[in-house]
Amino acid sequence: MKQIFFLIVILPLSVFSQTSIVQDKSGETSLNFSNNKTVLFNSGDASIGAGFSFSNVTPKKNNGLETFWGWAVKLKSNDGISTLLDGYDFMPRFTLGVFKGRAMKSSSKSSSNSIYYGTDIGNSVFNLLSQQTLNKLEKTSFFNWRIKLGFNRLGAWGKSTTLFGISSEFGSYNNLDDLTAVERYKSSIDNSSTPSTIVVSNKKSGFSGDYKEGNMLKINMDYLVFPTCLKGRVGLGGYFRGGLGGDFSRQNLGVGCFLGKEGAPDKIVLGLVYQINDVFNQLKEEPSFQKRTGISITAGYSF
Amino acid sequence: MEKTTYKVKLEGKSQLHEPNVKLEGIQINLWSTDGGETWINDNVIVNVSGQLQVGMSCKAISGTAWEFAVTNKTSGKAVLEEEGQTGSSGIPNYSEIFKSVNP
Repeated sequence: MKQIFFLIVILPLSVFSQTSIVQDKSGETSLNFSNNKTVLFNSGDASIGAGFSFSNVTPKKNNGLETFWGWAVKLKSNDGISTLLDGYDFMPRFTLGVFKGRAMKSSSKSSSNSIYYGTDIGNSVFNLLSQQTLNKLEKTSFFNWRIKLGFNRLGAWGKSTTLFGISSEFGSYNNLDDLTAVERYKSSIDNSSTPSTIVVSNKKSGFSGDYKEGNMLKINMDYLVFPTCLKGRVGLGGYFRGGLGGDFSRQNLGVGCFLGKEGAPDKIVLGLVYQINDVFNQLKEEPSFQKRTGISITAGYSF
Repeated sequence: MEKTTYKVKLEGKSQLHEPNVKLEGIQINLWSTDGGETWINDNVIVNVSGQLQVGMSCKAISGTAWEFAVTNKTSGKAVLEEEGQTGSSGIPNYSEIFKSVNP
């Protein structure tokens, strides 16, 4: 029922949607190229998200260089779609952003550069397991803000297309993605049958761990190559996410491949990402390198 | 010379960057309201003598399909209809055409 509700709410909004062609497991990117009208689901960290935006593009007079502005909305449910609704509580994580940018004059016919800047605000509502009693889930909310500045370049390597993006963000973060997803049930024993049955009810989802909030500077970089084979529809590349600041310092690396539509390679329909979290184990949360890695599947539909 | 009004439309299957259209050697302004996929100027007044000189260039990730049309608004006839893909002429991420057509 909740899945149906989610689809009914999300799909009509997707007419105005935009998501970048490359996302990491948290749905972040430095690429702001495509204006895809897309609804997209990211399986990273067992979460499901969707992004929507609308942008308006006008050329600067007589030189063909466009300026653009737009807005974007991201919705994400914690630990899968089942926690989007918790009883009668609607508990999404959402971000609302505005951005503005412009193309820059390029000396090459093969390349196109642009810069953009913007700001995001957002809110997360989630259940946090009390560290004192360990049996109570407390409803917690987190308001966040960010400012960002980015540069994108459409280029060429031989006859292949390359996309490069770099962006810097500063703002407030929490470590919700680092916490352990937990579920709490009420249980009782039904002795009327043999063997006895344990009845669990009143399921609640939340997070457990050392929850922190703070400010951080982030550097995001993405690089993609679209070889000429397969009609240029397959993009191969990687990304870097660097966080600098107190409790949140870490570096994530990822490689992935993305399949785009015929005639519109930047409208992705499927992406597969292999990500290494906290490459240098700065958080000291998981000593095993292998356990800090994961695979994320991104599926989208472009209109 | 005769003053003629044209509608110019460049439509990509995905976002097109730095679209550039010239009629009789004069660059015209283009606007997009769908985020850069479709670029239009539906009221271009040009002095034409003989053939109409049309030039178009755009940038997009290689393999991006586009359709380009110039329509005479008086007669309602399309004087030029072209389609292609960026990169197909040998320069990655780029397309350009130059045509002389009946106005």
